[in-house]
Amino acid sequence: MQAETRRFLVAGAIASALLAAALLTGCRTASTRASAAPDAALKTFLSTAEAAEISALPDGPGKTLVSTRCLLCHGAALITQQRKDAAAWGRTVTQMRTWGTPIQDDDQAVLVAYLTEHFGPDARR
Amino acid sequence: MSDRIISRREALTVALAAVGTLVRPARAAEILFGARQAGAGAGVGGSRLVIQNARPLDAEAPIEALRTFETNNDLFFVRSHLPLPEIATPWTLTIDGEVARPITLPLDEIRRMRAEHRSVTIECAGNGRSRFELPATSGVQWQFGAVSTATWTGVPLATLLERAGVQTSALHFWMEGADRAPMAATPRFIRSLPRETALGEAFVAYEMNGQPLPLLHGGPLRLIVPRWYGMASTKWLTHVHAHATESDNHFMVRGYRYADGSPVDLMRVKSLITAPREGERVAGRTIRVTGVAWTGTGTVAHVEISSDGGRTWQPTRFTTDPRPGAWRLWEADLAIGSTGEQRVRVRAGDSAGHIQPERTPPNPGGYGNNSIQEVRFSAS
Repeated sequence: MQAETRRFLVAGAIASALLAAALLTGCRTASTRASAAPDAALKTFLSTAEAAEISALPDGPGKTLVSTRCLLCHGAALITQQRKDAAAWGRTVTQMRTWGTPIQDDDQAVLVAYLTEHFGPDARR
Repeated sequence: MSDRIISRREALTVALAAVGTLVRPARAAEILFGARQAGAGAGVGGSRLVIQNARPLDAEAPIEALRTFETNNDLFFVRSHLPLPEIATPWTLTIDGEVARPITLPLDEIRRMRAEHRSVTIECAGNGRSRFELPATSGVQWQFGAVSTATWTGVPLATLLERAGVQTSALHFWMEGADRAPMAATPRFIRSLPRETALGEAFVAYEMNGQPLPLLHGGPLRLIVPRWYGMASTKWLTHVHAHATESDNHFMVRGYRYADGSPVDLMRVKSLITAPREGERVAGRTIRVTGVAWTGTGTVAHVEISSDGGRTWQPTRFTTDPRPGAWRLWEADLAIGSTGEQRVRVRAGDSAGHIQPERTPPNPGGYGNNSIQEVRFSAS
């Protein structure tokens, strides 16, 4: 086995171990592709993408709710790229609750206020 | 949902914050490349996919990647409704419902059938959504690059349906992929196709531009529905259910609808300038303008450009032939009258008589934006 290939396999094995520890659902390593050769530059690019999305979340009373509820299923950019008023955010949060996101009534008000303040119709892009 | 599960998921989120940024994208990259395309992802001139959402991955092609008829697999736009599924081995496709003989076909068996190669342009129905001026937008804020073309290898869906003995009562075919949301209560992504399309142009593909279909693009097996917006081309296809009625899934009934309630289906005629790029500085008295144009109705018949805000239009010449379901490349030489800021617009029309509007009327979902594009650049 060539050294380069071996290196990628080792990297793949490490990534797989981390994956197994971190992600119980939704994101599993395709073992048949374990010998894939990751491009370091794009790997870095992608790896910073979600971190940048999360860091783009402004501080506020709803931030923890976003992190612990909304981000269960999707990244932060799906939120931060939207511009909606309180009624529209309310509909979105209600739909997400219907779709299984664990949000209590009290939390919904905090969440909608946070989303509307930072990602309302007049917020900067 | 029990507290235990919630708490486990919360722990998961914390874990994600700690190591997810190292792990998840690395996997995405690994899948995107494939061992057969070492070094891929660097793409054309070092360009890369433009990520709109990291999870699930929604990413558009960089415009310069759209200057060739076939888009590099690594730079082909990616749209995911739900997280990437686990890939079962062997992969199978089951056809059931209103059929005489329900069948489950292993992928290997499909690969042994007579293969066809088809060049098909896929555009996300939300491409250009960010260009709409909407009071309450929703969905991925795509710019221009959620469109790409590949030559797909596979077999007609009709061949498989006939093998299952499709019955006359089967009027709608519900397409099911392997992708699932993290929460069980979240709707599956199910789309149904009318009989004439399912037995017509639709086909199942297992290769993309001569490579095994990458996971990010729906591999190992996906549906391709030429001329329709991308939501019809179900990725990770596992089941085709033949029904008498249309699917009542969320993404049929509520999603992918225009303002008047009509379904989003065929791609609207549209064109895109691939050179010069927005903000580019060019030199010379004449510059080459290039681009692509596509439609879901007929074939692209004419493409014109304008450098005076649409008062006058000059024709372009096609460099590829008209093919239903695939885009055409075009080019034109534009005379530069004076130095400084320049503007060029493009407008396409198709053989069905449709022509791009100056401004597509917005709809709440932000679908089907085929407004005329304008690129601003400067000349010295």
